[in-house]
Amino acid sequence: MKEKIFIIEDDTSTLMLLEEGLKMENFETDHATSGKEALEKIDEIKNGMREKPDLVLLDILLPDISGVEILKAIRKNPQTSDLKVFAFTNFSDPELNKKLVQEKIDKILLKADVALDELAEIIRKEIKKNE
Amino acid sequence: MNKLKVISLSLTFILAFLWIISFYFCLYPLFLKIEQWSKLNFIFSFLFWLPIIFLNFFLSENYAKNKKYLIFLFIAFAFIFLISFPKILSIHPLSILILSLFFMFLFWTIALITGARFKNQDQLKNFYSLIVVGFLILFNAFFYFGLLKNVFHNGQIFWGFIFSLFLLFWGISVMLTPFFDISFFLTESAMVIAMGLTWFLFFSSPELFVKKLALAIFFIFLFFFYRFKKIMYNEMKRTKEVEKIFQEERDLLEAKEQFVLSIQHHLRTPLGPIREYLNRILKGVYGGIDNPVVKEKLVEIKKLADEVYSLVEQLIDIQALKTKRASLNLEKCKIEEIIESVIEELLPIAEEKGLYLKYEKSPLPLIEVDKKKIRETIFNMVDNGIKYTRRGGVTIKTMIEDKKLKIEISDTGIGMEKEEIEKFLKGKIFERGTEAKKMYGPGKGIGLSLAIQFVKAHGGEIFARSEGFGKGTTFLIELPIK
Repeated sequence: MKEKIFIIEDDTSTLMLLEEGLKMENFETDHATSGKEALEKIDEIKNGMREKPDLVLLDILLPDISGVEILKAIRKNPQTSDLKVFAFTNFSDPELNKKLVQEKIDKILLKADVALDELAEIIRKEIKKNE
Repeated sequence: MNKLKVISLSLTFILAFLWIISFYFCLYPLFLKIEQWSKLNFIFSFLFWLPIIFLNFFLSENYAKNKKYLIFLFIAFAFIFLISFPKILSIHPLSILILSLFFMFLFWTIALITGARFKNQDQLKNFYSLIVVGFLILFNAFFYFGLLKNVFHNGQIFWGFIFSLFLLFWGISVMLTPFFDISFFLTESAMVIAMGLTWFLFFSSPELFVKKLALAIFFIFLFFFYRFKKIMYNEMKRTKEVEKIFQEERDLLEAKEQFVLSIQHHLRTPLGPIREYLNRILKGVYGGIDNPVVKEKLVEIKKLADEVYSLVEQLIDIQALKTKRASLNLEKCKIEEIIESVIEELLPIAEEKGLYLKYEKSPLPLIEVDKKKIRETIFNMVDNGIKYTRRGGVTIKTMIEDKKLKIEISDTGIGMEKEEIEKFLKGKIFERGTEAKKMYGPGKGIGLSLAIQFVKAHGGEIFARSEGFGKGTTFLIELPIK
């Protein structure tokens, strides 16, 4: 069975690239392009109306809601609190990173630092660690 | 909270006024009988302190924590009042005044103690107006005993009342002045005491000449008191305005830096996919590129995209350091190794131009720095040296002096003008120097700006020295050793 990645990313080009790359690396993907949409989908996952992903790729700078808030929403709910979440962002801010760590982020990745195939490798490792 | 403050303040002033009136009408009974005035005065003594104590609590920082204490004080006040009030019905009205004054002193001490830990402007104003209230109590006690001992006579009671009101207005003005300063307050106090003394002289002296002189001096003081307050008020108002303008400027600058940072961020976002798509195309993810010319052009585009990307990265680094949004990743490093790795990378470029690249190595201790940033700093300086040198080469030296690590990078290149060095050191250079423009056209001196910001973030400094055009440039990086 293919592993499912839920991508939360507002920049459509980046999203397209991520979906394309991860599909080629044999992942299944789902996405949300705004904080609001992401929260709605997380709600659906919580209620069992949407399949639970194996990992969430979370862009931190979203136009409507901060990624930190989305992470909080994920961690707050017992059905989703054990989800693996990677922050995948352009922006490295020590203050923000501190907040993310507080909310038990699994990894913080800088978009510039990882190529797509590397990202796929890191994700695969993380999911395997769980099994 | 603010509303409570205003209510307490107004109540304080009204009750103080009533207290003074009842005190003086007790000494010179009009409208009501002396017994009634004295009882009123006794009641006002209690009522007057309640808003003051409340005010002290509203002003203290841990107001919520002190609530219990406040309730306790309130009950204590009520208790003292309830047990003492029935008793005073039977004593002489003038003795009641003494009791009244005694309680005023007692509560004054309590208020002063609760206000003693005040530190900020608002709180201090309250504290100092309490001291004025102390003057007021002291003066009235003094006046009362003066009357008993016949130092003053009944005809002078009106003037005692007037001086009390003056003290009250002074207290109000201290509380309402938007700014506060201790030296300002002490000067005022000295003036008021002098006024009190001349006032006393005016009443107690039997000589008409002394009386006139005292009165004249009193009014001179009063005039200066008024002038002093007015001048100080205007002066402080101006200071506050200047501070406000400075603050606005700082806010504006901060907003600007934020704006630049956000623009850079938006520039970076599309660059990621551009580079990654190019990568994937060149790797053949979407199928082969058979046309070698197309491939060559794509490689060229990729190179340019990488260049723009690293440029944006550097700008973001500068901005982040300037706005203190970036932190250093400190670790103990061998500077020699950093320099050697820079040389390893840049030597082929130097050799290609026929230049030498020397490192005069000397032993160094382990130094705590952000390895990546210091490497980039040295890299930029050496790269800069190679770029602007046609003959000769670049020499790197290190030394330890006055608990500072000094890295000297000198080239035999085009040199810099004095003004350019000054601009450079102020971090103003974003442009190539005059001679550098001739070699490369106008461009970005971002590498150097970045180097300055990196070194500054480490608490260090960069110096530059050049004898002028064609005589080479020496850059000196100084890093403190912790």
